[in-house]
Amino acid sequence: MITGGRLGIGKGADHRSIFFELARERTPVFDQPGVDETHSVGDRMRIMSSKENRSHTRPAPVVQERPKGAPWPFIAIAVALVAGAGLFMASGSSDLAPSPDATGPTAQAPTTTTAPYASPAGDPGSVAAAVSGTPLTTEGPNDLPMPPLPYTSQMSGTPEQVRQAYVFAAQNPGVLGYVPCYCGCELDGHRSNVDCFVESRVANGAVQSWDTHGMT
Amino acid sequence: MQMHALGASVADIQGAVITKYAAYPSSTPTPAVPQ
Repeated sequence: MITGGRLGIGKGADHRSIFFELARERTPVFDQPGVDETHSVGDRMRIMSSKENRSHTRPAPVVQERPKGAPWPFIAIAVALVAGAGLFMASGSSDLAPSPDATGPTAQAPTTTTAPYASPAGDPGSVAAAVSGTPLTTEGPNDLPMPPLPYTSQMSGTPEQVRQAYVFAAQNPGVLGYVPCYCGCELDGHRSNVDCFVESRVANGAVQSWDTHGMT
Repeated sequence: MQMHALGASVADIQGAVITKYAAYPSSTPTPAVPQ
């Protein structure tokens, strides 16, 4: 029996203390039939822990079912990523994609293809001469079309760095043609570093096909 | 590419590359820059 005097609070009319009022608010078990307020603390604890009362005091777990349907936010993010990657790849290759006007020489490549520098007797100057009409110059075919780059999954740099290297090799055969390569590609018939980038050219010096050595 | 952008000659570029990779056992049979 809890009395106000036991808790150090003045006696109430019904022997109720502040503690008891709080307990009533927090534990509805005391409102259960058969639960007398005159029970001792130990009795109340046993009542509260009994199976019967636990079933009353513990509400049944509410199972919140997830809305079944497509996870639209994730799908939207995935679509955005794919679109971004597509735009990035398109922008990377669009610079080197041949224009409609340039398809003529490239399409005629099988009949007019000459790869003077790739020939054993060629020298870097011959390519430059074929392109610019001067005996030896470092100026390359700056305005000639180029085929799309053969991007691979394993590149030695960023796509932009690789693109710049390929464009430089295409436009400056008189420079890279005098730069040796040390990767062992001489076994493939390469004579200089430009061969690691440009596989063949057409008669006017435009790149017909790329070599993938420059990618790695 | 960087040396070329800075105005280095082809001979200078070739010499720099050969010097840097002198320890490598093999290389392409690249012709020397005409004088």
